[in-house]
Amino acid sequence: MSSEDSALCQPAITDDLVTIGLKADSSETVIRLLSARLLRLGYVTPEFADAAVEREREFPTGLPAQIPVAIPHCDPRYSRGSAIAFGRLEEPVQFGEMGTLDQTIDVDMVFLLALCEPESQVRWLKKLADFLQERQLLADLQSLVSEHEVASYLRRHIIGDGSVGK
Amino acid sequence: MAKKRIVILCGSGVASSAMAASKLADLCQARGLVVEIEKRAYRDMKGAGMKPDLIVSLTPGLKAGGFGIGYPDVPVVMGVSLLTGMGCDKTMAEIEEKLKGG
Repeated sequence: MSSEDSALCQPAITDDLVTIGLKADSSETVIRLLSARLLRLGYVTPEFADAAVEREREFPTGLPAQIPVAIPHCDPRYSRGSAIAFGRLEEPVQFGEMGTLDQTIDVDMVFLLALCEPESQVRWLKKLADFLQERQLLADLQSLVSEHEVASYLRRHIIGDGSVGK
Repeated sequence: MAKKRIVILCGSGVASSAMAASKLADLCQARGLVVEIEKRAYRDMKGAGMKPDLIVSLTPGLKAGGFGIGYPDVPVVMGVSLLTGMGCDKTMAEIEEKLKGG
């Protein structure tokens, strides 16, 4: 994590934040596994996982997009930097559908978002929103074979450059 | 039409609402709707800030007048389609209608 101003505006999306073939039996397990990754790399506090699980229960983040995804996250006070931990699941798990309390959708791609300084994040959050609406981009994400390819692809579309990352 | 105030509501007022707000701003502009969009967390909704003309909600169970949100007469439109792109036109038509007092 960098304290440079420019870094505050962009999320880290590095190879080691990407997991392909994640094995999990529930949305909670997915959130905890990806949170552990964020914690180990210093992007979140130890309380992040519980907070994200709790928030997901109260305000589910499954999105019935053309290819369904989930975007769990929690209050910025549990983040030390901005980052996206991405997991592609071996088998889909059920996430609650955003805006409902009684509907679920099967999801096999999860974007766990760590955010600090929310006002400086608006630009990439918009790009992420655009990304999630494109069937082809999500389909590509399902077929890329390595963590490195996925991380590069996400950086290119969400940060807007092909740089190797921080 | 005078400038309208829209509050967009999500669980923490951070990520989902920011994503939806950016889409909503674009779509309102495309329809010639002059709006001011404020992001807010569900827990901060009760009586906080100025009364909006419309609430766009990403949270479950929120109905106009329900949950004691402080503005029982403000219409509520569900906004998840802003994030998925699915059914977005319908949502925007509903938003436009409500803003124009339909």
